[in-house]
Parts: sequence; structure tokens; C-alpha cells
Amino acid sequence: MAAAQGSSASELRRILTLWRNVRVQRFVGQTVFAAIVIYVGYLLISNMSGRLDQIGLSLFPFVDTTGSFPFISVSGDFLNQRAGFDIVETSFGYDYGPNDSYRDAYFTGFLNTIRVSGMGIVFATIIGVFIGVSRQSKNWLVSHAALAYVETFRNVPLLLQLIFWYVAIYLKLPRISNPLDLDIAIVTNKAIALPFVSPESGFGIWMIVLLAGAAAGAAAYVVRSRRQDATGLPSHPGWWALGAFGAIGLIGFLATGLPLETDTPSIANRQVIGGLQMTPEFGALLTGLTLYTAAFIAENVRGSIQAIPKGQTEAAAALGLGSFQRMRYVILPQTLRILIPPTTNQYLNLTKNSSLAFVLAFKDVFGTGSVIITQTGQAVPIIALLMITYLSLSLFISLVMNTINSRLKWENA
Amino acid sequence: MTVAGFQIPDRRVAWRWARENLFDGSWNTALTVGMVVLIGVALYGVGNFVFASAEWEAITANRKLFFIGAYPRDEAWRIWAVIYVLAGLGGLSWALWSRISPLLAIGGAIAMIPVFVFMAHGEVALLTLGSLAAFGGGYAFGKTPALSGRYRNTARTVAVFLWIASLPFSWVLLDGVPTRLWGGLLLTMVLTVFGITIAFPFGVLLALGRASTFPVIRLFCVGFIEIVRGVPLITILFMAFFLLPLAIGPERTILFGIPVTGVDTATVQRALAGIVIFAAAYLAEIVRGGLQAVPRGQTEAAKALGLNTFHILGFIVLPQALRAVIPALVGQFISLFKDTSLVLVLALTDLLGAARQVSAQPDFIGRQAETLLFIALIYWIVAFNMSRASQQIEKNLGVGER
Amino acid sequence: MTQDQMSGRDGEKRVGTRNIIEARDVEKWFGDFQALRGITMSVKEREVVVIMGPSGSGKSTFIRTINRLEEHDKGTIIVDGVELNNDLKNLEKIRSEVGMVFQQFNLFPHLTVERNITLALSHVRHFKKADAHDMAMRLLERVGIPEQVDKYPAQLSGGQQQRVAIARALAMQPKIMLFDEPTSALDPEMIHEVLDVMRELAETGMTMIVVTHEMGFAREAADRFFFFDEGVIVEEGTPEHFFTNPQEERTKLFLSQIL
Repeated sequence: MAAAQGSSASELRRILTLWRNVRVQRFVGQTVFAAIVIYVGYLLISNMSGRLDQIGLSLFPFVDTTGSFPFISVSGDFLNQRAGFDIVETSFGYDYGPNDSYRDAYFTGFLNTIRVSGMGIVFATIIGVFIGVSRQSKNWLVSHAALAYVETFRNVPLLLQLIFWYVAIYLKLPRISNPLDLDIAIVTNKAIALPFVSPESGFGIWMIVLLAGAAAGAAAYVVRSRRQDATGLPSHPGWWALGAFGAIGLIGFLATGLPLETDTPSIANRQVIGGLQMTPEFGALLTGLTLYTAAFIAENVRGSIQAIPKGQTEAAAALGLGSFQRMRYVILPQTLRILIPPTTNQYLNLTKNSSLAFVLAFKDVFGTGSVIITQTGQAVPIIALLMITYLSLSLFISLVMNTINSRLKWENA
Repeated sequence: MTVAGFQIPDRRVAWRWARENLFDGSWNTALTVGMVVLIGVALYGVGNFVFASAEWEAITANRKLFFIGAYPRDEAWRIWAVIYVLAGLGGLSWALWSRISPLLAIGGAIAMIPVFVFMAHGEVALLTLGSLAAFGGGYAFGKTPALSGRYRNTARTVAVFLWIASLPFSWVLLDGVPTRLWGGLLLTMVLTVFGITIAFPFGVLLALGRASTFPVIRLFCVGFIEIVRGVPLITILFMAFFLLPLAIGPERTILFGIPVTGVDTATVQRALAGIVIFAAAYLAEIVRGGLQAVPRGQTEAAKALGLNTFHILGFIVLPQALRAVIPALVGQFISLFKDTSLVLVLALTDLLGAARQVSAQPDFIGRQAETLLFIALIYWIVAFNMSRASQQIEKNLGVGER
Repeated sequence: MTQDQMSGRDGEKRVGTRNIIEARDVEKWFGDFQALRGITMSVKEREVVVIMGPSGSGKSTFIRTINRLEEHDKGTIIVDGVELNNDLKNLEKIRSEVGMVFQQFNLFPHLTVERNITLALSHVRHFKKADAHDMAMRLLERVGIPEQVDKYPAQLSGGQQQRVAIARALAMQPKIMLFDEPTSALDPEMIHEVLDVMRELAETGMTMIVVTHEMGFAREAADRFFFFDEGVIVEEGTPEHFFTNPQEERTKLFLSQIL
């Protein structure tokens, strides 16, 4: 057989068998997949767009295809229209009224979401750690009461719990015409109010003094840590820092003429006035989210304490470290390291679950968004906006927690 | 010395147990006394409500609403037919797989509910007993010499296919009544069971896609999974509710350039679509965990034997991966079972919706605590029993590995 | 700072006359199971004692009672003149004078090798940071791995980890070292590097109680030998006596299985 003939035949075979070449398969496979995804996506979107056109809406109201680059119309979009609905409860002193735009309404809801999630995360962590540690108690009653708590709260749907707190607890509180006045607090089914403080003149100056106090505290911490390193004597940098901050804060408070005034709540014209107020909607949402998430955090805490081998405590004890030192330098750093990732997940869940505020008529970002949908019919952009909002919040929480986790690097213990 | 539970054999042991667990030092004793007071107050409050101030008539007068919603009484035979078929299949499976008792505990927990509530209810109690008989019949059939001996493997294969076939069968049978009339526990169970079983294959595909070496496919899967997991279920439900009819609605749907008649989706189907999307993303992450748990050596050994990619996945990797994640899958089922209560926002009358409806009835206005506590108990029994069963499975799996 | 144990290679090793550990009729229960059924033993200064016995014989439990990782239920234990009881003051004193090396190393995974060694120096002995560092470096050189000072335990081999654990225990300048099966969790090729360190330590005159199955080490380094079974001391004597002429059947059986 001639060599030339053989080579051209193998060339032919190579081309004919190209379909089973790995690289070709990969390329063709992915191209076909991408084509199908894009085409199906296009079909769905064109269907939606077609139907929306029929009722005079646009699928992408932010995109102005007639304009010039970057095709985003700011003036014409519906978010600038007057909202026309009120949001009773706002957060962080943000001012909103029915005459403001949909954009303002959405932002108000967003702030409400942040407030309830933030407070929920703090309280759920405190309660969760408490219950989780109680699960490990040597006392049979305490550990089983903690177990009962966990099994009760995590096996019943959160939405049910939220509705229960709202209709069966908070709304059953005394009416405002017959309030429960506890001298320090006022409890009605319109609001629960606790005494609070309100700033007086000199508050700003005191704030500056406090900042200076914080700086002094930090300096004290550094100085005392260095002393401990240099002399080996226990120098309690943490306590010194706290002491410096507290002392300067107190002196400043007295020097600026007591810039805080107690603000005791009262009732006038069937309204609760002053103090630190909480509506039943917010109360039910916060209670439900906190107690539900705390059950899951408690399980994480228990698991991460159990995950530390007994040998760690023993080795620390054998070195003569006391029980506080064992906890502080050996057990806690390792526990936190295990605890943080699953707890981050619970924080994310709590934030997403805060959207159930919708059912309690508390206007969080989802509740506000749904009102905008019913008023304008702009379901597509609002749902997209909501998704982006929640994704950003999730991303933000993950970033914060990851930063904390990397700060807790082993050597910083 | 076993002091698990409340059967403490003799006084001396009891006292020793109490000393070690309750009165071990002054701090512990103080703690015990404090807890006794606390628990006493709580028990008094609950007992006082349950036995004195609560009006349970709101529940007993609305049995049907809680369990099947507006499903017509005359058509209830459809539901019973489904229950009988599933009970028979359950019995058969128990006989064929002697080791699946934990799975049966799950079924048992679910089956308990009608028994529990309809206890004093003539006709329904009878039918419930009948479903137990169907279970027993299935078991007896599975234990016949032929099935437990020679044809055991064939019978198992058939049983698996019967389980798969039972889903569309159940849907078609139930669908004799329009879905807008479905409600109560029936709707909750339908959404959970169909949601998770339809989502399962998608979840596996997404997990495989995420582990794929094809960047385009991986990107798509990662994007889908992370977006769905990053947003609340309620937004997915809204999306399904508002956008599904726009995308595939009945009139003027374009398919490959041709206008065709689309599908008219009722709210239940849209909710189910949302749940499927949601569950698929979470299942994908669970399956991914299982895939990572399969040692590399398994794939390598299979490749060395000359198996192709599909065979490796189907015969080697997936069976091991899925087996490892059974407890997590049960966990996801529990979680979804609770999460279906969110369809309340689409005005569906699931178990939670039924409770809300009852407390809006003129006769029972303001009886919110009773209805909510009652359904909480139902949710709790199912979720708690399933989580116990999944712990059992986890233990059994652990033993199997050793 | 006492340097004698650190640098002290006086070559000549003499067993002292004073009993540094005295245990009398020590009993210990775990629930209904009696792990120790009356152990009486004393250890002299600079003596190296090896304990052997089948698993579950109570040998680990016994050495764990010496620094009170396990509380004994009956009998007395006196370590360096201090009786072990519920007095916390005694406990902390004893623990910082008795070093312990575990089967599973028990290094702190979140701390570097250096911090593992200096942790107790800073917080119990109140060393200056620089002094603690010097001590850590000296000990690491002594166990032969000064270059690993900044690594984390997970980055070391088992033998290296155990040598760090020995350095960590030595940093407290203990009068007594307890070794609880220090080589049982190690791969064969790493056993000798740990035994070398232990042998050298024995030569410097450290009082040591070692639970081990390493016959070579026992034969070379031990002054006295104990055989435990079912919570009692079955036989005691010199290594010589043990390997050539054991008296008890249980000892013979055990040795025939292990050799």
C-alpha cells in the first residue's frame, strides 16, 4: 500500500470522525446549549412583551430604545410618578408621604426591611446563643426546655408563627381607650411604647466628646497590650479601653450639661405619643423572625460546641490554663470558626423571610413593591427590582460575615 | 442504669439521677427551682387556654375545610382512591424492602393526621380504617412466596415504576375537580409532594451542570441556583403568578415562530411552578454536596473499566451521591412542607389559608388562636416525625458505611 | 527562671531518693464500671516509669488522675508534696508542674506552633513576649524542628506535631512529664523521631511516666516497669525482670502477643 494513499485516507477518516473529537464535542455541545437557552429566553420575553403591549405597558420601562446611548430613560420612568399611598411606619427618621414618588416609597420600604432584619439578626443571635448553650447544660430541665424550644419553633411554618403573634397576641393587647399603663411603659394594640431619651442642646458636642473617648480607648488598648507584651504582666487592655471610653463619656456628659432628656410616652387624642414606640405589625414580625431564627442558630451553636474535640480542653487544662482562659483562648476561637458559616446562612434566611411582612401589612420593601405592582401593573420591572434588592442584601451580609470570618484568622486568637 | 424517659425503676436510682442531673451544686439547684416555676407558669397558661378558655368548636365544625378545602364532598372518593392506592403501594414496598422502615415512619406520620382528627367521625373513620386495610393488603401481597422469593427483584422494579406512575395518576384523578377548589391539608400535601418530585430531576441536572467542565453550562446553572437561592420564595411565587401567564398564556403564544394556543394556568399550577423553581435550586445544592462526597477514585475506577460518562454517572456516581444525601433531602421536604404555607399570599386556601378562612366565619370570628394552634400542631407532627425519621436514616446510613 | 531542666545535660542521671508522686489505693468508677481498683505506686525524682497493659486496663485513666484530668473517687494522690483534692489552688499548681503529652497530640489547630508553645507561658507564667519567643525557639531546636515555628499544626506531619506537643509541655518547665501513648497515633516511620526526643529527655533527668507499647524504648529508658490489667497492678519490676523473667501469666500472655 502506498504511503500517500494511506495518508489521504486517514485525512478523510479524521474529518469523518470529527464528531467524536472531544474538543469538537465540547464546542458544539455548549453552542447548542447556549442557543437553546437564548432562544427559549427570547420566546418567553417576546411573548411577555407582546401581551404587555396589548395593555399599554412596556416590558422594560427603564429602557428607552428610541433614545441614545445608554438607552436608560430617567425622566419618563414610572417610578417618578406620585405614589399616592401612605406608609405609616418609616425607619431611621426617613420622611415619606403619599405625595412622594414611587421611588421614595420603595426606598422607605427598603429601609424598613433593613431595620427589621438588622434588629432580628441581633436578637436572634443573642437568644440563639443562649438557647444553644442551654442545650449543653448539665441540668436536665434546662437542656430539655431548650430542646423543647428548638423543636417547637423550627417545626412550625414561620408564616403561621407570624400570623399567630400578630392576631393572637399583639392585636389582643388592650385597646387604646383602655391602655395598660405600666408607669414605665404603655401597652396598647396600636403601639407599645417604652421610655426613651431625646437629645437636648449640647448633644452634638457630647457626640464629639464620645468620639474622642473612643480614640482614647483605642490608644489605651494599644498601650496596655504593648505593656503586657513587654513585661508579661497581665495588663487587661480591654478593660482599660472600656474604662477610658466610659470615663471620658461620663465627664463629657456632665460637662455639656446633661444633653439627653428622658422621653416618657403618654396618650393624647387616642394616640400614643413619645418614647420608643413599636407598632403591633413590627412587633409581630420582629418577634416571629427572631424566635424562629433563634431556634436554628441554637442548633448551630450546639453543633459547633460539640465539634470541638474533648482533647482540646484537656490539653489546655494540662498546661494549667484556668477555665476562663481555656474558653477565651482555646474553645471560643475554634467554635466561632465553625459557627460563622451556618449562622451567615441563617442571617440570609432571616433577611429573606422578612418579606413575609407582606402578610402583616407592614410595609417592607416587598410589601411596598407589591402595592406598586397593583397600582401600576408594572409587575416585570418591580419583581426584577425586588430580586436585585434581595440579591444585593444577601451579597452584603455574606461580605460582612466573610470579612469577620477572615478577621478571625487562627493567629488572632 | 437507663434513665431515658420517665420509667425510673426504683427510688434510690431516681434519687441518684435527680442529684446528678438536677441538684448538682447550689447553682444547679437554683436553676432547677427557677425552671420548675417557669415551666409551671407556662403549663398553667397553656392548660388554662386549651381546657378552659378555648372554643374548639371552630375546629370540629370545619373538619372538611381543614382537610380538603372546597373540594366537593361528592367527589371526595377521588381523594380516597389516591390514599388507598398509595397505602397499598406503601404496604407492598414495606414488604419488598425490609430495610426501609424509616421511610415508612414518614408515611406513618402523615397517615396519622386523618386518624387523629377524624377519630369520632363515622364515615371517615371507617374509610381511614379501610386505608390501613389497603396497607395491610399491599404488605400481605408483597410477602407472598412468589414475590418475596423468586420474583423479588422484578417486583421491586415494578414497585418503583408504580410509585413513579402513581404521581400522574393521582394528579389526573384529583383533577376531576378544578384546582381552584383544592384546599386545606390536601393542597399543602399536593404542593409539597408534587413540588419536590417534579423539582428533583431538575435539581439533579442543575447539580451535574454546576459540576460540569463546560463553562457555558456551568455558568447557566450557577446563575440559576444562586439567583433563586438569593431571593425570598415569595418573590418567586409572585414571579410565577404574574409572569407565567404573560409568558405562556392561552392566546397568541409564539412557539418556534408559530402562534399556538398556550396553557391557561390556574393559580395552583402557577404556585406549583414557583415551588418547583425554588425547590430545584435548593435540591441542586444538596445533590452537589452528595456529588462532592463521592471519592474521586470511584470515577477513576469506572473510567478504567471503560464505562462512558453516562454510565459512570448513572451507575456509579449518582447512586452513591443520592444515597449520601437522603437525610438532607428529607430535610428539604420538611422545609418545603412548611414553606408551602406561603401560597397564602396568592389567596390559595392551603392549611394555613383554611385556618384564616375559619377565623373569618361569622360564628367563629376572633377564634384565631384556636385555628392557628390546631394547624400548628398538624404541621408540627408531620415535620417533627419526618426529622426524627431522617435522623434514623442518617444513623442507618452511617452503619452501612462502616 | 530555672534553667537546669532546659540546658541540663549533666550526662550522669541518678534516680533520686524522694518520692515525687505517691498514689495510694486509688479507685475510679465510670458510672457502674470500675476502671481503677486500688492502685498504689510511687515514683521517685528523675525516675522513668513505663506502664503497659491491654486496652481498658486503666493505665491511661491512672496517669490522667495524676494531673486530675480524671478525678479519683477513693484513695490519695500526692504530687510533689501536694495532695490532689477539690481545692482549685492545688489543682492549678499541680497542672503547671506536670506536663502531659497526649495520644492525639491535641495541639490547638487555630494557633501557630509558636503560639501553641507560648500560650500558657504568657497567660499562666506571665512571660514577656520576647522571652516566651526565645523559650519557644529553644525548645523547638531541642525537638529538632525550629523551622516550623510559624506553621499551623495541620501543616505538620504527625511526628512533628507530637514533637511540638512535647515542646509545648516542656515550656512550662514541669517537674514531671506524663506521656499517654505518645506514639500510638503515628505512622511507623515517625515513631522513632518522637522516641528519640523522649529518650533524650529521660537522659536529662526528667521524671517521666510513660504509657506505651514501644518495647525498645521501655528496655532502654525505663527505670521501672508496671503491668496493668483490669484496673490493678499485676506486676512491677525492672525492665530486665520483665523481658527476661515475668512471673504472672497475664504478663507473659500480653508480652507474647506484643513482641
